[in-house]
Amino acid sequence: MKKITLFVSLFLFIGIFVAPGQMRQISGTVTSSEDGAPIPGVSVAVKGTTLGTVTNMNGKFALQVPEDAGTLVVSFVGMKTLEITLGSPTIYNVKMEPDVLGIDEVVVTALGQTREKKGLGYSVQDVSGEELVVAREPNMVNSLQGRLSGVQITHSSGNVSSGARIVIRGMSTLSGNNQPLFVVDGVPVLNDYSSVGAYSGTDYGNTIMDVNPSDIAGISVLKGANAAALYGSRALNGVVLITTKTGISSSKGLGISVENNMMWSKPLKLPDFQDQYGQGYLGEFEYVDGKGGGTWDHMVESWGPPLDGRLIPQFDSPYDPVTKVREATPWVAHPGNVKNFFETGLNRITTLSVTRMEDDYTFRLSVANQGQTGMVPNTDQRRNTVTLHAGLNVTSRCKVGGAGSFIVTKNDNIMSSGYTSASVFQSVSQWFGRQVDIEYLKEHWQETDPVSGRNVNWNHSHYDNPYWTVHKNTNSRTRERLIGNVNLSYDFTDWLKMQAMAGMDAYSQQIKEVRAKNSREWMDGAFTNYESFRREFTANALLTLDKTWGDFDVLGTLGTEMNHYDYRTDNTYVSSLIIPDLYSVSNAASPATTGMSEVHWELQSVFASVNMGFKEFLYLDLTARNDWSSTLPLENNSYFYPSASLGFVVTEAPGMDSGILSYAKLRASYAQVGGTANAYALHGTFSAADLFSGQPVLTYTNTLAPMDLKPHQKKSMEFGADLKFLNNRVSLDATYYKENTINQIINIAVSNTTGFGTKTINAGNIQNKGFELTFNGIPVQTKNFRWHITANWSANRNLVNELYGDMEYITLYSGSWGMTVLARQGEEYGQMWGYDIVREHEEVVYDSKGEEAYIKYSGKPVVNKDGRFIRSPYPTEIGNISPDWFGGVANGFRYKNLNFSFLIDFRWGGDQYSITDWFGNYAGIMAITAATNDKGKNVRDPVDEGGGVKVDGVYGKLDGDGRVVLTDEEGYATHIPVQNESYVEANLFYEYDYWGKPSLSIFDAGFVKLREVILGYTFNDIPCLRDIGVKNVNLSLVGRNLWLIHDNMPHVDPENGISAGNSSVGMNSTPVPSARSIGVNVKINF
Amino acid sequence: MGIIEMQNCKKYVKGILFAVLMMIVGSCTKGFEEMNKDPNLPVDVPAIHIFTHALVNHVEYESGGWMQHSCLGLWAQQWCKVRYIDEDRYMPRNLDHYFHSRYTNALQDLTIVIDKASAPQNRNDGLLAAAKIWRVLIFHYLTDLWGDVPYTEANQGLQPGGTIAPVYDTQESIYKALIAELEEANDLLTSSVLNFGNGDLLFGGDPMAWKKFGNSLQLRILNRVAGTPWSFTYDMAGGSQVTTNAGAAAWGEADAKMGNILANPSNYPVFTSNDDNVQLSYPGLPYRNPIFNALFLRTDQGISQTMVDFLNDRDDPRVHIYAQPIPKSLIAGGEPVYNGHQNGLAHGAAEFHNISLLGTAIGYNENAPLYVLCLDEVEFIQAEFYMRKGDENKAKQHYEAGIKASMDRWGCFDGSTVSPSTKKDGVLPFTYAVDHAAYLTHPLVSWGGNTGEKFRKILEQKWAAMFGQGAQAWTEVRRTGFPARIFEYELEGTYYPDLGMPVRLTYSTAEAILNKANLKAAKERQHVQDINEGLFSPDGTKSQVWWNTRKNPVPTETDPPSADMQ
Repeated sequence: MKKITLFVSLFLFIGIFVAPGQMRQISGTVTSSEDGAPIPGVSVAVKGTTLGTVTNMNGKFALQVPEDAGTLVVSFVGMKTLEITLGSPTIYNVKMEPDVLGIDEVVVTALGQTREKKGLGYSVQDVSGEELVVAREPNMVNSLQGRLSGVQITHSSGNVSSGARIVIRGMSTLSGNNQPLFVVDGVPVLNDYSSVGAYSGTDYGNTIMDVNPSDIAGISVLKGANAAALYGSRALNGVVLITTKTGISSSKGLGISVENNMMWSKPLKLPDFQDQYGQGYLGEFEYVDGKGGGTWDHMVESWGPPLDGRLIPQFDSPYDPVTKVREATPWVAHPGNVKNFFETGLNRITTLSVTRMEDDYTFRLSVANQGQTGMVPNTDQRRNTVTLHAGLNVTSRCKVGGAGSFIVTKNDNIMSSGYTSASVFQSVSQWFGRQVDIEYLKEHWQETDPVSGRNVNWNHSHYDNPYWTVHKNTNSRTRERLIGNVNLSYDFTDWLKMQAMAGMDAYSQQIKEVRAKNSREWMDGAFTNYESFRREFTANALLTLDKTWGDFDVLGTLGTEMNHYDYRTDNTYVSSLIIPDLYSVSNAASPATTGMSEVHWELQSVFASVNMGFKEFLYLDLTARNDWSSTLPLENNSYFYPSASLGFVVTEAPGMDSGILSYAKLRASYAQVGGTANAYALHGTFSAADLFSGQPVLTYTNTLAPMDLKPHQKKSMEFGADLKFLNNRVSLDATYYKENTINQIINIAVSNTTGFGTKTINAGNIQNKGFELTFNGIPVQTKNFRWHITANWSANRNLVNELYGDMEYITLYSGSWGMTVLARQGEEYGQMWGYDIVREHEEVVYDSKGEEAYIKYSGKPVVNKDGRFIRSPYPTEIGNISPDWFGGVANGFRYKNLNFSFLIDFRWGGDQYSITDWFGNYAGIMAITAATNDKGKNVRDPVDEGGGVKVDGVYGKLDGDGRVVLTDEEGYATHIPVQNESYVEANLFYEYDYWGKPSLSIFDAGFVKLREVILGYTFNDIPCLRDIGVKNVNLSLVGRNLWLIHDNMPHVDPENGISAGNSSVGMNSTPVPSARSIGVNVKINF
Repeated sequence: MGIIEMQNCKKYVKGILFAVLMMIVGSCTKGFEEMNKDPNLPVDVPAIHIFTHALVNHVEYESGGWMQHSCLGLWAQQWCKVRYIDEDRYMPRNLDHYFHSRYTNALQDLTIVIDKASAPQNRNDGLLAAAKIWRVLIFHYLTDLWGDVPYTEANQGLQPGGTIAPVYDTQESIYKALIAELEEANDLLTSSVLNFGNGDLLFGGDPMAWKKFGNSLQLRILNRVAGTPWSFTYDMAGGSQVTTNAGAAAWGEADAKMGNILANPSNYPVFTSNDDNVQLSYPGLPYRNPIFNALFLRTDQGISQTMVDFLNDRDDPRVHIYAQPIPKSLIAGGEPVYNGHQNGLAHGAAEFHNISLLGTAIGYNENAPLYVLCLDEVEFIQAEFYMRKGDENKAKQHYEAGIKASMDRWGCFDGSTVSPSTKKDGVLPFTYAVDHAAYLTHPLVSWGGNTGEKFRKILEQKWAAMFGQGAQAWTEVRRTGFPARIFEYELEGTYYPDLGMPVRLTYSTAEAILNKANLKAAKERQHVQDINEGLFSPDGTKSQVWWNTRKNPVPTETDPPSADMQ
């Protein structure tokens, strides 16, 4: 009933049509008060109407205005907005003052509406396109790192095409996507990502990375449900609004710019290897065939003889084919063997853009070409993007426009990730011989080993030559994508406008993963070819009312929207080949297996919003939306959600005197967003395995279908204050939010003895509450010099308030190697769970019913009388994936035409399970496994000769109930802890004492990082170039990820993960190290 | 471009706009139900195809999966791991999945098949009986390994009002119910029942073959609860001796029921030929023998020293099938040498190239069959039964028939020759002439000795024949205390010293959360300990499964490492 009332009242508003009066033309020039230069792209609009234009490259504008028009609003990003009373003159020359801290900043909000920030009752943060292009990241999402409060970005690795994960204000769902909706020019676009687990897979990245940063005018992040409510279901996790550049922002006439960016990359951080012992076991090694024929030559561990130059037959020793004997050669370390595997990566992007603006049309065409070669040999990416943006004024009231980007991305090879031999780094940085000469492997990978008959390699029981893997076992990808929209707007009157838009994002993708014949794992060769097509179509129509009645400014919107999604995939798998290197079905030596699948869904919506401003100090926004979803049961497929927000500009209120406080605004808002289910979740189905000797093999799903599924819901509250001091030189925005996501559509685990592993239900209440602070300050500003600091800090607490019934936890995903990530009722989301070692302090944790849930250990390790760890009797909490807080500080300096800036960002807390460390120690490859102990001996020396590892722990044991009893060194119970003095053989310690105890390799993933440094200079009026039309040239030297100032994680950059997917957070497994990049950016404006 | 004034058509535009808006608003949801129909997967399929999955899934699980090749095959000391030997030291990985997957896979398939095959409109007695027999096999597997498990209330997920927290039935009640189900299946399988199709990968839908299978399975189940009426003295390492006493029959009627089956072959036909065996042969890609698949990429499994010594001591031709000669003996030429690896022994003493890998026919043949229930086992069960009955003639007859059935099953036919084979170099120029009669006269094989020794011979031969059926073999080891060698030495490197051999598998940790009260009750009534993974019974037979009435010796002296390695 409520919603109907709302619609009716809106229709009533719209019903009051007023015919426009006579029109007249005004014109003028907008210049800067600082240097008198004309300012292009300034918005000039008649207040309270939708009539407006922008200035051309010479700062000039011309506009038809109604005779009775009262006020002209002149606004531009970075300048103070001016209101000019219109009188009889027809020419208005306007001087704009810089707005040091953007008090009148305009931001893009939901539905692409540009609004003054001061009128908003919720927080929106934006990033200009300029910030993304100078120091480029191959994945655009990574460029946002450290710049936005409440936005956590995790890059997965330094591999080509690796994904970036973006989470706004914590994880809100127990299953499914926790990442925001991306909208480009009003069209929701696909940000599909590879969900690679810890074990294996290839990270093909996340698809929003297709957007060329050079085409981006700005990014606006709608963090809460409050800002995003109008986007409906899919905005549950916030919205990233990307506005692309149009012809409007450039000169009347022709504008050309060329931009070239080159970034060279090297690994930022490599594991800390030992160089004292080579491959083998128990101090022995002798190579015969690399798969067990010699002494430990099948072992891919480095517990072999000391690298002291002794003579041992090795894989690269001279081989006598007659006697079949390998000569013994000096057994020496190759300290750089992992580092030298990497090449210098290069990412080069060139963008050429041509714009033209005339009275009746605007036009922008950009062509970009990217060429990237990775740090991993034989990995690359090429991308070509053509973007066209055009607008045409059909009449003075009717405008049509359109935009389209055609993007072709090709990769010849993206190396696999995770715990698989196809991921080369899994071997070389984890299961490797420290004596291996990588240069030899590089030079000889195309040759055949005389004994094994396979590619020349240091080992033949587990691995191929790494160069063989990257050259022959490739994962290639081609994606062709079209993102575009057409739109039409019609002004009925100066305050009532209709807009309609139809947009689409569609791509087809081919991924071909080939495995060469004679590879260790694929003796017969194999390949998989995936063809997929996705399309999301959006159409909407809006009716917008923008009018002033006395002291009231009203902006009302009524709209309707439709989203339709189609997905199709076909894949072909061939497990053996006839002849090598031809990956086609005709070359299959065994029948190809195939698969196909399609998904379709649709969402229909109506929505309305009213924004009311009173005397420019009190603002009220109301929104309402109703969605109908195809994926829910018919009886529950319609759901309604409202939002309200209030902004109060204290300093503008009548009777207020601001003093040192130049501006203060308080804001409050409340919103709900509904969400829907995945397609086809309502019925159980059978799935087919391959035919067995011609017989069909079918089995029923493992998930019990829901009986009465409802939409899920997020309720969000937000309070904030925006304060500016000292004549706007200092500003501080603070936001507190609390969001609860309830009725989540999740698959809960049920007792498998029901015949089903999971059941789809509505349940759960996940809460995110937190603070976000944004600080801006200008410590120094003179005519020629300016120092600008921006900083942000956010803390989020992600709580599992409620699950389902008396369920204690839900497994979010089973991490790997004994570590599982849980949502446990009453605790922070993302609890890491697994076996710990017993420690001196035990704390019993009780569940919500007061029963003993588990025992948590802290303090020094308890060791038995042999000095060895004792595994906890039960799994327990061993960490949490969620960071406590994070932020960034950027400093920018400008002296005349020279600019310098650097960005430091940081994260505190959040744990990561380092499989790199765990197995690296197990394999005896890490430095710690050959460290010097407190007796000055190598830990690998025998214990009775003074070697061995001594744990900094106390003696103890477990009693029959699994509780810790402290003991003395003889094993007798004691009350006073007795410090461990027993030494354990290093090999035993790092293999058997590490095994089954993931907690030993869980580390704090906090860090402080020098994220970005830019040094730039703009050359104006260069004599020789001026003649060919060059207006100016900007040259910047840039660096990204330059310095990991502080971290607690051994071997790996704590930011490294596995992929952008949900199910790999909190782990690293020998990722390709993140890249330290240095480069140049040149932009030439004609 | 001129500006077109639209003053006069403004009215129409307003009208059109309203019409368009009203049309779009919430009007196009009619196709939603159709749109949300899954275009990829069926909601219903013929029962026989689901049955096929239940067969493939369970054979792979029981005889080809991780439980076989990395856990129970090791605990039975038939197989071993040469690397990553944690399970060999009684430290299994989390077993939740291996418990759950029976219910969510094969058992759920069979629940649907039984539902469909018993529906009046689609009644299919052959398929119904076969599905019941196969379900009994799986439940029997589960209860023998874990003890009390959900049975009566299991797999009710799809049933309206079905429980989502099934009770754990006592093993005793499950045993009795399983026998009742097999009786029901036997009654259903009359001569008028039609063949139910080739989706039955085991017997091509032949109802009579299933009848034999059901009754042979009944023998296996009954024999397990019929008691171990012998005492036996173990010569422990270190010189001491431990005598274990006879184990009482857990179910007093078991022998009578077995007698009834064996006395009525027309009503209760059982296996009489190796053609009756329940085994699944693999056609090759995409269905390759799962052991082949596991060993294709890595060599972690070998043969246990306990098994190799048993075979070598008896000059048993099956050693050439079960194992590969050690590489060293190939280099030297001449006679092949077989060295088992001592289960649980650390890498140190065991050099890789001094260990026999699994035979090529077992582990390196993609078409090799996997075995579920075979003639040799049924013969040995009868031998044991007649020993209990005191009919030693019949016992001897079935003992020798069991040996012959096993030799034949592994290709060691009387009068034939077998050759060792290796993964690396194929067949060696060495042949061994098989002579069944000679084998039966070998001092360690020939029928004789006191009662305990006769039982021992039957049960150790049964264990040797069940190579690759680790779950069944380990269960028999627990029940009977044979092969004796396993109990004479403590496992070198065991994670749980002084506790002997595990008596059951660890209960699911997920069940402890999702079905808390029922699991708790089951653990309490079975005295399952909460420490040491709940694997052991330190306090007599208290924590052993219901039928396990004999307490096996707990040796404390560890195995002398590689004492008899060559």
